[in-house]
Amino acid sequence: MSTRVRPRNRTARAGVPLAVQAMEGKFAPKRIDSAALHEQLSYRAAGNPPGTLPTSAISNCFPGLELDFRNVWKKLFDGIEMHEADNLVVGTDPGHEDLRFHRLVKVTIPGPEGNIHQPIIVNVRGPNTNGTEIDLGAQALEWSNAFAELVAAGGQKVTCEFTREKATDPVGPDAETRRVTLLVRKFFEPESAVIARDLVEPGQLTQSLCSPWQNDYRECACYYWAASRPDYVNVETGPQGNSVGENWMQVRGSGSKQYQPDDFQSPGLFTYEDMFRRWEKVLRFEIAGQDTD
Amino acid sequence: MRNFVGRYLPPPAPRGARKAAAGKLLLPNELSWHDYAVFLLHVAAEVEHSLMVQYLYAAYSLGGAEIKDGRHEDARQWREVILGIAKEEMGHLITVQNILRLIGGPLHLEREDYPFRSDFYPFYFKLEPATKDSLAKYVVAEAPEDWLKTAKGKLIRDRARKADNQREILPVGTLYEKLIDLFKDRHALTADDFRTDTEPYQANWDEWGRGYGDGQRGNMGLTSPRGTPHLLVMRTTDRHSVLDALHSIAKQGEAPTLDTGRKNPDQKSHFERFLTIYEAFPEDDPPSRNIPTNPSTVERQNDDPVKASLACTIITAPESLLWANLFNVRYRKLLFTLKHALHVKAGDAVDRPTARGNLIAWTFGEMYNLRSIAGILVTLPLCEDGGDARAAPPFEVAYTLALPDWDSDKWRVQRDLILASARIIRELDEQLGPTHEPHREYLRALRDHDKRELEVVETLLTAAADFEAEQEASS
Amino acid sequence: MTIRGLRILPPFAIGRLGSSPEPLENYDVRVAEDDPLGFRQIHGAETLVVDRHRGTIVRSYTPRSIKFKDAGGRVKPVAPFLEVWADVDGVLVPLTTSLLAENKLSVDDVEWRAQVGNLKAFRRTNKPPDRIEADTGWFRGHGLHLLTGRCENFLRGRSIPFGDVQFISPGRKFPEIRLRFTPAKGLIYGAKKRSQEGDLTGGVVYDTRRGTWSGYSDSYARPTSIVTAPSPIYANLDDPRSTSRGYLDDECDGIVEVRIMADKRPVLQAFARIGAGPPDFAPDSFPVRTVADELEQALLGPNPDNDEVSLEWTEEIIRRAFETVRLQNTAALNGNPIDGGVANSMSTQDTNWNRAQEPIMAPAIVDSKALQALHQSVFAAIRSGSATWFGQVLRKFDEVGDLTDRGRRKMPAMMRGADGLHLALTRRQYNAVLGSGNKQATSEDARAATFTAPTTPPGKETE
Repeated sequence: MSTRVRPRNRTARAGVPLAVQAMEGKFAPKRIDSAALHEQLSYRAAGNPPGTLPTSAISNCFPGLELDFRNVWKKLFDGIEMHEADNLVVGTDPGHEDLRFHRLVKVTIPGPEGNIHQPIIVNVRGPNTNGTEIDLGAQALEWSNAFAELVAAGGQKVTCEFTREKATDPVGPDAETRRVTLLVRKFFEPESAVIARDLVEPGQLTQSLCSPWQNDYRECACYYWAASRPDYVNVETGPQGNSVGENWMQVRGSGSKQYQPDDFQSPGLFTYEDMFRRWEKVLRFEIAGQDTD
Repeated sequence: MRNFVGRYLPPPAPRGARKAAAGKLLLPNELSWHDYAVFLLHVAAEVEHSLMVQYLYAAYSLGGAEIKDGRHEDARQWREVILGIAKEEMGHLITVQNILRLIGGPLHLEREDYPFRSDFYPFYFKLEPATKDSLAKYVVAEAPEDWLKTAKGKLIRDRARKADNQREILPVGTLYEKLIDLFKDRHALTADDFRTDTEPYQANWDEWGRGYGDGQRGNMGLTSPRGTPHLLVMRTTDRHSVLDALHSIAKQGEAPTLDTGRKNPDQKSHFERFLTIYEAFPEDDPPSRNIPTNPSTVERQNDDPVKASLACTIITAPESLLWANLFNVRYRKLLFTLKHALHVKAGDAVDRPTARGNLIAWTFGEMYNLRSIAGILVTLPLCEDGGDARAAPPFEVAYTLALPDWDSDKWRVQRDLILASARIIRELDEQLGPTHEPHREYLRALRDHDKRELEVVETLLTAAADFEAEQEASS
Repeated sequence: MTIRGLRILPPFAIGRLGSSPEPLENYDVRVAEDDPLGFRQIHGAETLVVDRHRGTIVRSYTPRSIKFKDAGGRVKPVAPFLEVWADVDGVLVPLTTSLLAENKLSVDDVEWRAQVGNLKAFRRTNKPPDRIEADTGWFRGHGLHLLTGRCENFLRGRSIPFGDVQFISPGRKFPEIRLRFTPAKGLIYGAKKRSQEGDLTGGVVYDTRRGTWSGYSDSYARPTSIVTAPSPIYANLDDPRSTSRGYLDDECDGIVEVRIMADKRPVLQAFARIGAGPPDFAPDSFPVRTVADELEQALLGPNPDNDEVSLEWTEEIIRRAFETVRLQNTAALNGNPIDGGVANSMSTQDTNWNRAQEPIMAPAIVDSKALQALHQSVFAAIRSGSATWFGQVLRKFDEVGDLTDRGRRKMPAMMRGADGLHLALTRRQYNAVLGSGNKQATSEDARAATFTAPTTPPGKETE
């Protein structure tokens, strides 16, 4: 039974989130209760601008900007290593070799109010090209939300259901499974807000990012991280009442403002070479949505 | 739609004539068939509009600090259900505009201010806090003919009549039956009466539905029956689709069980939902706030004894009055912007967002504003000299919702509305006491939002004016 | 005051690359009270100036304005400080020279070590000799310690600099025990083979006779499902196999640790994590879902307590939504045709599932300014005390696979989540939004508010 005491945040004020208070410079305590882990997590050291804070780092990692946070979950189960972005077992310790390349389908977490059955796979559904709504396939959920309840069971054993056979292709949520009991690692070091040492090793949080990161900047459109890697800048109201602006990655210049859609090749956009050789020059900081510097 | 409505009633049946065959419509003397269709649609629009407003008021009235413990959950649930119904009325209102477009009639978002009487309205227009009596009226107004003949139906009908100053409630369904008969009649409305090019000027589900379908929205906590609210915003392209739309609206109102043949067989009608609430609603001590009947911002003359009983209550507390004024301005802005949006083509290339996108966003913004301001009003005092009574949203009608002819002038109206708001906001800001910090924060956000909107409006006004000047010069 | 234990705060510090020798100054970011829907404002904040030769803080000042690049146009790196805090009787306080002295310890007993890695090549090739790792080993004193990334598959004598760490010498004005991590310059390294002249701003380091990173292809992976998602995301020849050019960068992540020695044994220890990524190019705007949200969910669980939720939290989420929309060409992202083509967006990505390609929302309503206005209206409504009514419009964490029109129009819209499907908030964020309505329902003022959300406890919402 998971009876782990949830960390009590004894001193933080409700209201404005701590992360926001930190960036505003309004949260700079000189004493922190040792059990106030949320405060420790949110702490902003002297001299550190808000860009040092986790609240400035995106976490819809596909693969990510500052880190690929998905890697933090790979070794949550003692004895196996999961793919950071899939329910596939990619590594095993001695004793669990039989799970290699099997897929995790469900986890049962014992809870104080009964077991929690956590599905790992969702059905993808939508209209096909004929407009008929059909099942389009299955996808493993991102770990952060899938394992949200599991973290509290750190230090305990839980029942996992894996596919009976190796399954290098994705399977649906109703795949045939067999049960294996595994120990859940603790996510944080005891009495601390730092991610446990044995959960992720140096280099692992960035290993699945683009190499080099400049490549990703050139390729990724703005549907990921506009608040960190902007897309649409120098925006004004056009005569039609709609907005008129520029693509952050486009060559600024003469002529009327016209957004250049990102298509890897357009001459109006920065090139890979620009990114590799001159990124500091060509990429602009946007303050109030306008080119600065 | 004022007192001339009487002139557009069909001529009386000749003495001794047998009852007209079902579906046989009689054309009023001063109208052609097409015109009669437009007229009836105008009536339908007003009915939907006034019902929506009265239902919203009833919903806003439920809850409050004064009601007993344990009643909050009931109040909240009933409020949610009634709000869902009000949203669906909005859908009806919009769909009726679409039909008007299709047959080339002018749009109609106007409404008669209270007090009012009309032979087409289900009951006297009355903004009042929810009671078992008022709910009886709503039930009967949405009820199907057959149910009204049952014992229970008769009982509730009697009660409703009493609550409506002894005037018989006219079920809304009757009006729609007339409309359906009219549209079915190929001699009355010929193919010629249907335009073929109005789609870009109609409201469509994609733009206006906002996901309010099958209970996917507006049903948090599942207080409304499954599958509701289900906003009907139906585009119409021909006679068949008009009949479809009219049937759907009627069904959503009155069907004993709405049979949509879709995946939500228990999408209950307005009638059913109101009936459920009515039956559970207490006889005395309703869980509603101490808000007035027919609140208003100005003194009204009442010589008619009937009207006197529908008397208005003026809001006299100064701060409340300002909020009420603000409410009226935003209410007008909501209707005007909706109308305006339906006059802007949905993009000549479907690829580009247009001013229409802004207008639609602003329309929804105003809905949220009305929600917010109503929420504030019902916590403020009604009277200058204190007391327990609370203020309430007056929904007073503007002097006009007419769209000016030139595009630039349409934007001028938008500017006017923003400026009027700005004045009230400024005054409120000065008046607000220190205990009203959240209200002040809201006003700031609203003012900020309006400032941005004004920038866009000014740009569009200039662009439109320039374009018009060019047109003039070249003609 | 006996020290029972140590912590390093913050437990996770993010550095950002830049080639300027001047690190980015400190600033605060605040919402302007009289412009609540406007951009957050940047205000200079206390900046510690370090003399890197002596390892001391020579002065502190508050800049009047912040320049993100230096006079030469070089990006200023973000070089975070990490402070050591001491647990004294259950309360953490900054570790200072005097606290050390009270415990019969001295600054000279303090040792640090940093270990970082860049395993990007290794992640693909799966060959341990492709691991690039730096380890300062335990050190004392206040000199600069370079984070030199070494790799078996590098040419002899070559390495990738990942920056440096420095134990700042505490003084009278700044007596705290702190380390500073300065990230690298943002250069590109690689192999001569398959690289383009001029790309390797950091130089040639990789030995193609020993290693296969240059020439690697995700298509070689067996089974193919072990590759990264997305893939392939390394600089390549743009050929059908996406053959890797073998480029490497100087990003890294890892651990810094501190220990205090007494009688040659460590008596107190702690560690924290660091990482270095690209600059934040829109520093006045913040993303909707962040690493802070992930860590908070892991720490505190997906169901916030009633006293943890607040309108301000919900407001913050909506603010970030319109901050994001403000910097997005939402018309393009929606899948509206532009210049005859359709931009790369979720609308096109969904076709990978054989979903019909369609704009996500009605094309007319998705202009960036219009959507901003809408979000800002919602924001204003929350401010008015209206409890959140739009909970149902948020995508639940397990609804990410719903690619129907209704599903795709839920919020956050048009963005990709970590599983490649449509983005959902963390469960904690989702429950907080719903829960802020619950709070309204149960508090005194809530009785007066018009619209409240259901009284079911947060997180127990079922459908």
